[in-house]
Order: sequence, then structure tokens, then C-alpha cells
Amino acid sequence: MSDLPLIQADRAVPPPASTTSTGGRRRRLRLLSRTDRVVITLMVLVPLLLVTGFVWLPAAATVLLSGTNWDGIGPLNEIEFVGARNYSDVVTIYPPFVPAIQHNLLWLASLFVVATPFGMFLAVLLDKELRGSRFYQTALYLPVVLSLALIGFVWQLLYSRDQGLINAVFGSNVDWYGDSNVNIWAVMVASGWRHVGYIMLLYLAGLKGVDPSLREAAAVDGASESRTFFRVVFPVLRPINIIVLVVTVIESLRAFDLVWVVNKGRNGLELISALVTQNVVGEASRIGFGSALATIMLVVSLVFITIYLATVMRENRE
Amino acid sequence: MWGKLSGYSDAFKKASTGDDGKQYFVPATYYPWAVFYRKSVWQQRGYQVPTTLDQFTALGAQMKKDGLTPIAFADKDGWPAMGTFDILNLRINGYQFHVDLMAGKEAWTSDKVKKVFDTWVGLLPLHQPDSLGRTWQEAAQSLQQKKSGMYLLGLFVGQQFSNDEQDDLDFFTFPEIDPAIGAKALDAPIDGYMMARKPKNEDNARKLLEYFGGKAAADINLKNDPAVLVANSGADVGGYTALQKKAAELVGSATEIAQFLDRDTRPDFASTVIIPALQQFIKDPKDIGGLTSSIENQKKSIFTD
Repeated sequence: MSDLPLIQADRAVPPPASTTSTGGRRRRLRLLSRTDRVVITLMVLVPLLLVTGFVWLPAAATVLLSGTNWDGIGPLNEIEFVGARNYSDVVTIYPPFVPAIQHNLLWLASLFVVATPFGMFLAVLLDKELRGSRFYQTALYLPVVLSLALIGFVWQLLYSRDQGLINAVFGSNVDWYGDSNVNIWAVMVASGWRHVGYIMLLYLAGLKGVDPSLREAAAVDGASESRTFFRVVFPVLRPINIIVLVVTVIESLRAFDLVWVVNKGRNGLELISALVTQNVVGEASRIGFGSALATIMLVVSLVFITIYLATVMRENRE
Repeated sequence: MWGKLSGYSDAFKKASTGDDGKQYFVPATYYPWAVFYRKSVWQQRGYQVPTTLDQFTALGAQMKKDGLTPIAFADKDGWPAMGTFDILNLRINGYQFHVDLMAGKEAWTSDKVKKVFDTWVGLLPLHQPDSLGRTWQEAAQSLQQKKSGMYLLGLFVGQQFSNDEQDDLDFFTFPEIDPAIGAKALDAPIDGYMMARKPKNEDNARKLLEYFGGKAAADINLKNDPAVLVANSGADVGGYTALQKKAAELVGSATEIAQFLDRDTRPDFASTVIIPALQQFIKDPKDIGGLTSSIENQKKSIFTD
């Protein structure tokens, strides 16, 4: 097994629990001095308060507000509960909802099927130390430094129907950002452009950490380049693979800035996150309705988070 | 409060009056929506300002023949199409219907609204195509570059013209569609001031509002932003350009001033329902029945109180 050394290294350290667990309650108390206990309490309490205050309470409030028709103005006691009406409205009479779900899934699929593998492929190429690989590395990573909002503007210069570079060079007349059949793809090219660089860097870092002797051993055994990668390197990089997977899912769920810059997430660019913002932020102020959308998004995210945590925990147990 | 203010026409007073007959608002500046064009282009081709819808359509057809895009159009940001809807609605159904529709009292599924969309369908071929990917600035530039014949927009269209081109810019109000209704109403969003329900210092707040509504404040406003008109007729308007003067006359002669769709109705309704609906209409103008019933369903859910 290729990853044996890693596991052995883990087991080489005797589990620290065995020394303390036998000592019983008295000895453990002596082990932890007063300062230790204060420090530990603080270390548990502060993050706990932060997480509760900034993550769990707002999430719970969102779920609560999704059952109301609050408009964000006026005292809290004027809030009226409307039950599940917001949810039934979202599903039945809100036309952008279904496209938004489809676009989010499409976003995930395209990042997962195209952008992520392509980023990994580039990382493998760059790992070969080609001439000028530093230059390529910088060029490919550059978009990651830009904010997605800025990327929206940059691509607007290429995509504009009347004044854009693409239509000028090819003499075409495509309305890249306006035609609702085309614009989601146009935007995904822009977002993929950034995602590829991100994945490339992550993966390159992983590849640099692979023990060269593994590759040499594979070469001595007569394995081809691609076989070496898929059978030896790829399995060794399992932790990085999981990070890449998680990053891809997160990127597609939080996709927002780009479509917001293009057209506020309307007309073919609906995404759940954009719909939430349209309803909650700004002049609309449909807090209740927007919260219902946000809750739906929370549930979708929870599905992925659960899958991820289940996988990670199962691995830890093995 | 309004008793102490002077220099406002009845149309402004009407626009500042709430459903309950009280005045809630002190107007400061405004800009009218109209159909803008370049004088030089029109003189060269001998176009005449249309006064009826038929003339307007005929003019558009002529422009098409001459190789121009008749009506510049952009709706990437969602709100410019509201201007087109508003003016058609005002011309076809009149100001009162506009107010009632915006207040949620009239049904969007009514034949009157359908007629607005039907008329719009007739005009769409004259509009610049692929408008959903274009900003109003780009559409205004097509007018500036003499590629388009006219453009229905607010007075701020002038921002896309250089200083020496300002004199070449002219406009006319959208032509009459129904003789019984005429062409006297228009969209001219007014910006101004209001007071909170229970201010901490009510007396001084009133004094401040009186100042804002007075002549001195209007003069300052005018100096700072030449792209708007001031609401107070007592202000010193000697610095107006020819275009501003004409715009002021247009609004002065208007019988009713609408505030633009997103200000005349609930903002949540305008931004989350109307914008996607109008974009859907521009994309696929055939299904007016389905579109209006979708708007009506969402309206019922929003206009609950």
C-alpha cells in the first residue's frame, strides 16, 4: 500500500489518552492547573459564543422569519405569522425559483465536470517543471486574486453585444449577457476561468508533497505516466481530492457576485443566492419571503454538508 | 405645511398628495421622460415629430428603411422597460388607471393591461433587438452615434452626449394613442424630502422642510446638477439650457405627473415581480395571458395589507 508510511507515522505516537485515563479523577485535576482550566474554558467558550451568535442564531432567526410577512420596518411585535404561505408562494407562483434551482445545479455540474478536472490537469502539467512553468502558474492564478465582481466587469468588456471584444473580433451578433439561453454559459466560462486557477494551485501544492520515491518505484515497475498518476499519485492525494471536492461544492453554492454584477440575477441568471438578495436587501425588503428562500438554500447546503461530514467521519473511524 | 410653500403647480401638489388627501412630500428636483432624438439626423432626413401612434409607427418604419434602428432600447438593468410600460399605459388607459393599477386596485389580468402589452408587441419590431444585454448608456450611445433614430428615456440621457452635442438633442412627448385620453400625462419622477412620522424635534424639522421647499434651496440644487429641473417655479432658471427649458415647459403643461412605475407601486412588487415579468415579455412577447396572470397571482400575495 502506497499510503502505509503515513498511517504508521500516526500510530508511532502512543495515544496520550492511555496515561491519563488510568489515573482517575484526582490525578486529572492535578494535571490541569488553574490557568489551564481558565484557558480551556475560554478556548471553548469564546468560539462557542461566536458560532452561536454569528451562525446559529441568525440561521434560526431566518427560519423563524420565513414564517412571517415582515417587511423589515417597524417594531417586532407587529410581525404577523403567515405559516407556510411564503414557501407555497415560492414553489407555486414565483417564476424565477425553478430556473434558480436548475442554474445552481448546472453551476455545480459544470464546475465539477469541466473546471475542476481541467484545473487538476493543469496542475499535473505544471508539476512537470516545464520551461516557463512559473509564468503559466502566475498567469493561471491571477484571476483568483480578483474579486468575482471585478471579473464580471472584465468579462463585460468581452461580452458586450454592441461594444464587446468577442463580437468585434468574430463579427458575430450574439447577445452574450442578454440572451437567456446563452448568458448562463457565458457567466460560467467567466467563473470557471477563476475556478480553474484556484483548483490548480490547491492541487499543485498537493502534488509537490508527493514522495518522489513513489513515482520512481512505479517507473521501475514499468507503469506508464497516466497509469502512475491514476493508480499511485491520485490515491495518495486523497485528502487534497476531498478538499478540492468541497471547494467546488462551496463555490457553486455561494455563486452570487458574478451574476449580481451582470444583471442582478435576472433573465436567465437566476441563482438562489441572488433571489434571496433581491428580496431581502435594498428596496424590496420582503424579509419573510426572502427568508423562506434562504431557508431553502440552507437545507440544500445542509445536504452537501451532511454528506461531506459523514464521509470525513467514516474515514476517521477507519 | 404646504400652505407656507409657494411656486408649485397643481400637478406637483397632486403628486405630493397621499391617498388620504394630505400632502406628504416637499418636491425638490425632477426630470421628465420623453422621446429624445438628434435634430441634425431628423433635419437631414426630413422627419416630422409624430403626434399619433400611427404617425409614430410610420416614422419608425421609415427609419428602418433608411437603415436606422428606430427606437434605441435597453433593459439589462430591468427598470428602463418600466418607462415604456408606463407611457403606453398612461396613453391607453390614462393617469387614474395607472394610479389604481399601481396601488393594486386594478387587476393585471384586465383587458386594459393586455391592451398595453398588445400595443407594445406592435412596437417591439421597431425597438433595438437584444435589449436584455444592453445598458441604457449603450443604448444612448447608439442614439449619440446616429445609429438609432429616437430613444424613450429620462432627461439624464444627455449625460451620454458631449457638451457641444447638447444643443443637437431634442425631444417630444410620447404621441397620443387614444384621443379621449390625449398626450398630456407623463412620467417625471420627482425627488424631494419627507419628514419621519415622529421626529424628535418637530418644529425645526418643519422649518428645514420649508427651507428645502423654498426658492433659495432650489437655486442651489440647480447649480449642483444641471441634468435635472427644479420643482419650485420661483427659482432662478436663467441658467437652463434650451433642452431644460423645453422639458420644464413640457412638465408645466402636463395635466398629471406620474412618478415612474417603481415609485408609484410597492417597491417590493416592482423589483421582484415587474422587472422579471417585463424582461420575460421582451424575451417572449407571445404569452401575454400567462404573463399577466403570473403577475396578478404574485400581486395578490404581496398586496395583503
